[in-house]
Amino acid sequence: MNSPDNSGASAPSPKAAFARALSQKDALWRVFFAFNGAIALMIALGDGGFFHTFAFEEGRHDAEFYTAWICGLALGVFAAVFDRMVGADDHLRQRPIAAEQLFWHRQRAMGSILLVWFLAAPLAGWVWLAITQRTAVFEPMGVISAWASFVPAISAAAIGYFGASLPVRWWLRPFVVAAAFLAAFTVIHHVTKADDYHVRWLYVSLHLLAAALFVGLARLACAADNDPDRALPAGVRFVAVPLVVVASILVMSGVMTEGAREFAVELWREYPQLARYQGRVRLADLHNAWRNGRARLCDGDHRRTDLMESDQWTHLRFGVPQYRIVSLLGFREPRWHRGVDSEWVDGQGVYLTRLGEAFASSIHGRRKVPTGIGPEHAPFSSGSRINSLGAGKERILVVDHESNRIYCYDQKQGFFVPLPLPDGDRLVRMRWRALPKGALQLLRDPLVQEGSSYGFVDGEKSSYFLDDGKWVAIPFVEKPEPWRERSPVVVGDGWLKVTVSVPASAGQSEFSHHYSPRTFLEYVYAGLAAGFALGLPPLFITQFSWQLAIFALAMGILLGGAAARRVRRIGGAPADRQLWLWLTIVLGPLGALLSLVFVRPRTYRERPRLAAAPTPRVFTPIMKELAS
Amino acid sequence: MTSHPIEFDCVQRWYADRPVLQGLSFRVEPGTVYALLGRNGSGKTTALRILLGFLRAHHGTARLLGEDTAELPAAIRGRVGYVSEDHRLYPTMSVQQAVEFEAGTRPGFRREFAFQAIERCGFGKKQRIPQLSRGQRAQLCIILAVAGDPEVLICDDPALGLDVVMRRELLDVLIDLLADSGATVLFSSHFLNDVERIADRVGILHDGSLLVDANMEDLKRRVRRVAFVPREGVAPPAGDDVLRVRSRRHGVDLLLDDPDRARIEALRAGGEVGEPEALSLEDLFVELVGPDAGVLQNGAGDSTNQPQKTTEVAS
Repeated sequence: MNSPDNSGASAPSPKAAFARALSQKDALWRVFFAFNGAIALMIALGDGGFFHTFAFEEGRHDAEFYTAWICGLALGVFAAVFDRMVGADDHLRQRPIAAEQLFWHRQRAMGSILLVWFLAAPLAGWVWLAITQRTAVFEPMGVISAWASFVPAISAAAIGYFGASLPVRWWLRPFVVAAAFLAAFTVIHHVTKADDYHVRWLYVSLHLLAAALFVGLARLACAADNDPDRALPAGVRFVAVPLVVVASILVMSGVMTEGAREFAVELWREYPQLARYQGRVRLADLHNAWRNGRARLCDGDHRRTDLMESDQWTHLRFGVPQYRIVSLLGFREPRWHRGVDSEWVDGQGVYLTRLGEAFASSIHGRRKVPTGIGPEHAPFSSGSRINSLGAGKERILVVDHESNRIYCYDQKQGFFVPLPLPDGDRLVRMRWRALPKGALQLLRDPLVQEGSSYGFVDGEKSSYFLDDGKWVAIPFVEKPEPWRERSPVVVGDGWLKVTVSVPASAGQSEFSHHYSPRTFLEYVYAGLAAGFALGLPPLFITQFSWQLAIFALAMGILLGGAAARRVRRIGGAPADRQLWLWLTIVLGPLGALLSLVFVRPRTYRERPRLAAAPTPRVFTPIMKELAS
Repeated sequence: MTSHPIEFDCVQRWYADRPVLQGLSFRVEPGTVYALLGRNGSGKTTALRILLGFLRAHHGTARLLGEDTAELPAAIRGRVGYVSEDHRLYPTMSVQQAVEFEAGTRPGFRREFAFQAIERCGFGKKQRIPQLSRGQRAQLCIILAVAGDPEVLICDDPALGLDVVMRRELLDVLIDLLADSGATVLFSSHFLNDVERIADRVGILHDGSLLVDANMEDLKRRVRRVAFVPREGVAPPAGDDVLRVRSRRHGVDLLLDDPDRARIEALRAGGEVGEPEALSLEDLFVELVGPDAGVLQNGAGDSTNQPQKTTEVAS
């Protein structure tokens, strides 16, 4: 053998040389992703204004979130498929490198790109802000808030890598990526959302946990060959594939729920509604009644009978059950807390953070200057709100959260001054509402018409609007809503069948009707809704009806048995049979469907072993055999 | 531990229902150039992929440098060079970067040797891989594989898609680079003239198993084609040595393994016999695995798993 050429005096260690060579191989796409991803995230940071990002702890980062996960997902998929895409995967594998080494190299490559994104995008944004707006503000929590919105890039990259490297058929991989991504992000979104806002630490933790989980799953599969004629390693078959199946069924359940909901909505459109007619509560077909000006009465079996006289009936509305149920599938950008409020009046803008710090900015001068209460620019209390009100010329107002006092921004002096309500009245709320009769003549705003929405301040004694910087009291009359006095009561636990009652009142007896399909069309809609619902895991079907859930469970057991028998028939191991039996029972009929996709007959086909190799027809013994 | 760098022991492999390798068994001696021949779809690439550990056999064992290729250690891969049929290299690299990449990932790589060979082949270090012609890329692949100082070099149809001149040049490069290296070479090819030039031993793969596993010289010496016109009522010849009977307009062509004078005389007793004719490797290959595969004679030495195909020969 020849000796290797190690002419360099300080040759790097083989390990370092190996790492460098692999990095060099990926250099082009790494630079591409690092640069373009950082640029994209920087642009996203500037979507709401760099000043907002660096001066305040923004409550939500929509653009950053969507850009981050799109970039992350693309990065993960690309890192997984690059060698295969350029056709050099065998070229790469045929050298002294273990599959696991290669796996960790790719993880490091992705990690370094993510690190660049996290550091370079805010830094570049801050430099841009400092240069173009001459404002070198920096609120550490603002950057942390942005980083928290970047974190989905990490989990999306891990998901993309896992899905694209899973040793399954090529066309299945995009589905795996989509299912894992949708399921993971949906679950994290709903788990971390408390009321209107997400719990930031939990959100970040769960995304990092998801990233670790999918990297771990990809690690399980990294040494497995994509060979459809051999079973996958146990780790992939019993951990990664079931998780993919669960994710797929979560996503498919969302689709099935939407389908069921659509037909349930149609069913409820078909059901007669309640109307008060001739002093009685009646079932009536009010479909398109507002347009046709005609409505029909219905009997107890939902058959349409007599026409109702127009203007003689009142619609008694009640909450239809299925409208209250929304599909859990899907996610939105995270919201940490209330964002920075701003108001603009006559080219003058004022920003108010959730902590009560105020900044003023003019539309011509891009620089933001601190402002506040009085010449000393005292901050407002945390949670204070900013609004603009007023007839003629609007004013920027801040209601201080703790003192409940109103402050008005004095544009000339550049700070807020108190604007108390007349006669020592105390503020109750500030709101926009329809302009009441009698208020129009008090306003000197020609653009405002009766009934249009207008900003008011409600005090304990009266309501007020702002006219040229002064409070003007207006008469306040709350319009009664008589139909609310006798609201129908809905009793029922399903989408398709409920009982609706209207309590008895003076001169009127109690009305009750049990809604269930009675006409042909109602049966069709109910059947279609139930058909979609049966595709869901039995646990999910309880939202329709428990009878349907039991039926689905029985169907799951039957189909699970069928799936297990199929796996046995094609030669699958007992553990595989058990896995698909239980997956189908727990996850419903879709589990059996997915077993057809993931368990292929060719994988387990019996292949007879030859006792001995056929002897070549022309054979020359090799020299050593001749010698022996 | 075996002393053969390459060893197939009754390797079987299916793709879905289709058996591709049906008990492939052969060994390659150290320092030998072994040519694996066969028609398209005969299983050559599958055999090489199993040997490289890219694919697993369903039954049987393939060993590379004494290691089972189902669990090939990374270190063994470092002692093996590989040239794929489509000459895959990273299109993002230049020639120099490709060399540096090999140098970084193969501990025994000879950088200067590679650069000298590249210079001899006449393309520049700065050229990008996509700018190279198909022939240049094939040459570069071979240079990179050989510069890694492999104990075993595996080439999967390295001349595929090259014109005659490029093929000849490629072969010259291979012969030049391998001179005195002592490497064991296993390659598949469809260009039998090339095989004749460089191979020490030939294996012809047909229907998933080897029909021929013989030294090149021995093969060319032993196998003879004999024209035979049997007399009326004489049965077609049969026996271990009858490799194939192909019907002609008048009589049949017999492909015989090592026919001696006595055998020819015995044939003459049954009809008219022409002079035994030596065949080139290409003619021999076509005679053995040619289109009318059904005429392959069922020799006594066949295993029970050998395809049982016979054709009646018109007398």
